[in-house]
Amino acid sequence: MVLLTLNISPRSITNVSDYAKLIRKVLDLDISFNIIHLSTSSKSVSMIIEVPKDKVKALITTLRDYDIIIERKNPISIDEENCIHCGQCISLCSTGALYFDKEYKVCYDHEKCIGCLICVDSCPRSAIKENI
Amino acid sequence: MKTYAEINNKIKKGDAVVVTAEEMIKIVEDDGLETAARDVDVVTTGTFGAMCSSGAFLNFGHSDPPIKMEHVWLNGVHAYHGNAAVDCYIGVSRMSDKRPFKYGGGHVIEDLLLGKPIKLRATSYTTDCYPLEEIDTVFTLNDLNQAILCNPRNSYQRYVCATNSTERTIYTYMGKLLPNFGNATYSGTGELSPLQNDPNYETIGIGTRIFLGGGVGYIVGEGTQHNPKERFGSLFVKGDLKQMSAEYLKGVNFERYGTSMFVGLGIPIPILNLGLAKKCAIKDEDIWTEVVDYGIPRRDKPVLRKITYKELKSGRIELNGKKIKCSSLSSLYMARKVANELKKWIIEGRFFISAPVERLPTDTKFKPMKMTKEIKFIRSVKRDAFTCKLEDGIKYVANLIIKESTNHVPVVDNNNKLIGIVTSFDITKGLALGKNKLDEIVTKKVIYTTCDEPIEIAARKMKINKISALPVVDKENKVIGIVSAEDLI
Ligand code: SF4
Ligand code: SF4
Repeated sequence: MVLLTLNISPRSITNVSDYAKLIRKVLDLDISFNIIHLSTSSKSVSMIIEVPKDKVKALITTLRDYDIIIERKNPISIDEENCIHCGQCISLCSTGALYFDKEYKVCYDHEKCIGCLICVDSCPRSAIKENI
Repeated sequence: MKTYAEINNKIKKGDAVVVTAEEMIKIVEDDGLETAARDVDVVTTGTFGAMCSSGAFLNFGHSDPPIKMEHVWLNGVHAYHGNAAVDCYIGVSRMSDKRPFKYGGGHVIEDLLLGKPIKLRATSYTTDCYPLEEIDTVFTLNDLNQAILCNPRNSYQRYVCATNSTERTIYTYMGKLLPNFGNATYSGTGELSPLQNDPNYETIGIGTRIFLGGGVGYIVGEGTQHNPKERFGSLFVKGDLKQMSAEYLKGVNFERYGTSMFVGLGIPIPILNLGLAKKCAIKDEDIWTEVVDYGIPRRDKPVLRKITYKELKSGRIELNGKKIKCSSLSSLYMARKVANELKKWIIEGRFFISAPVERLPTDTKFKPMKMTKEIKFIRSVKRDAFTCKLEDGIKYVANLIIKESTNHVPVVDNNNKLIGIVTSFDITKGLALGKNKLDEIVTKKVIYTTCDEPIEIAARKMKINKISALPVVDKENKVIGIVSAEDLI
């Protein structure tokens, strides 16, 4: 089983029915899962769930289309061979997990990464890979 | 004052003083302009970014029986064929027929340089002298007679910084741009940029020998869209692909935009006089560009502010009183590698500078496309909208839909401002589920248009959002009409 943190991004919540969206979308996938934690605030809904390993990919792919942010530990790796240090991924990373070093080489700090995966499809060299 | 011949003589003897444009800044600061102009012989520059107007001419030699190629594919990427029998041009932005957005002409060029076998497929209408109808074969770079990198527009002097005002993520040639000014991207290397260090093209023109893709290249002339007056000059360059390296020519794919190639390019600038020494000491803080809203897909996009490369390179820029994350699309790390490699070549006496046969023009203009049809705006096709309020019951809206035979009813507040939309389908669904309050079925994230939006842009909004009508709003978000897909045809 894998632990995932799901967040409905603040910008996609406009009314109360949006809150149900998250759970409904997970149910749509016919995955049995354990809810470890559920919290709501004025700005967002977040939920920690435990899902079978083989379902992680399907879940992430579906949820991402609904502006639901999925957080996971150590979710990506950067293929050094292919990275050209363009920096395109850096402005997309809100946590500073992707950054330039002194030489302007792009580095990745997995401690800071929350696995939102926003950077993945931005890489023109397909050098950012999801660890699944 | 120095001449090209004097500098080349020094290069030959191994005495030339060569520095990169970044190093030049410090030398001028520390030693003063006069000393720098006297001591430094050549300043090297570099850039490494996506350059979509790039590609290569290839010649395959003749098959037996011979073929006059009509359509040519290299690893499934259509190459241009409008020349003699077995010549073709592979352009970097052309995408693979089977793997679009993943593999394109730039990847073919990179694979050629890596020595990988490339699949060639060609078809022909056949002639008496070229009877072969089709051919499928495999070749590598070595098998070609000529492979000439020939890029009609490279090395823009500077470029704009892109951001996105809209409510959705957009995928552009400036990369992925998050909604509501979530990030910004820019291109170009600022103080290291080739044309930026000789902005009047005193030493740059036809025949200038340059670093191109890890090999030696030449400037053919001004690039397409060369726009020197606005400081948006560009270069037309060529070079022998066989001598280049995959390290400096990289195929890239921009999600939902297409393919391209990153090109490493560097120009040596001979310090012939005091003026050139001064120009080569230009700093990021003196190089200005504009922050532009790519959320508006028009030719003239709104300019949000002016900005220096210094602020761009800092990683954060200020916009509307907020700091937003900003990063490059071109690689400064690789651009420095280009400038340093070129410096090494000159110091080792392997590369000599050349005077241009003719300088690049400084007065050409970049004109917009001549369009014979006038563009049509939403203003001319919009209809009156029948709106409702959130307090209105489902039944009321159902009646409105029948009475006015419309499918879409924008929901407005007391000031006529758009707050939602309901469709006849929503009403039907609502009724089926036994709801009677509008609040339960209304869509609150409404995609809308404005009077001065071209109809093609509105049509694409409907297509990508899979909807069939858009409310038209004014500057204050007040509903002033509606357009449906049928109105736009
Ligand atoms: S997944 Fe998100 S947090 Fe992690 S590096 Fe990418 S953008 Fe940054
Ligand atoms: S976008 Fe890709 S190639 Fe560019 S710096 Fe990030 S990982 Fe490297």
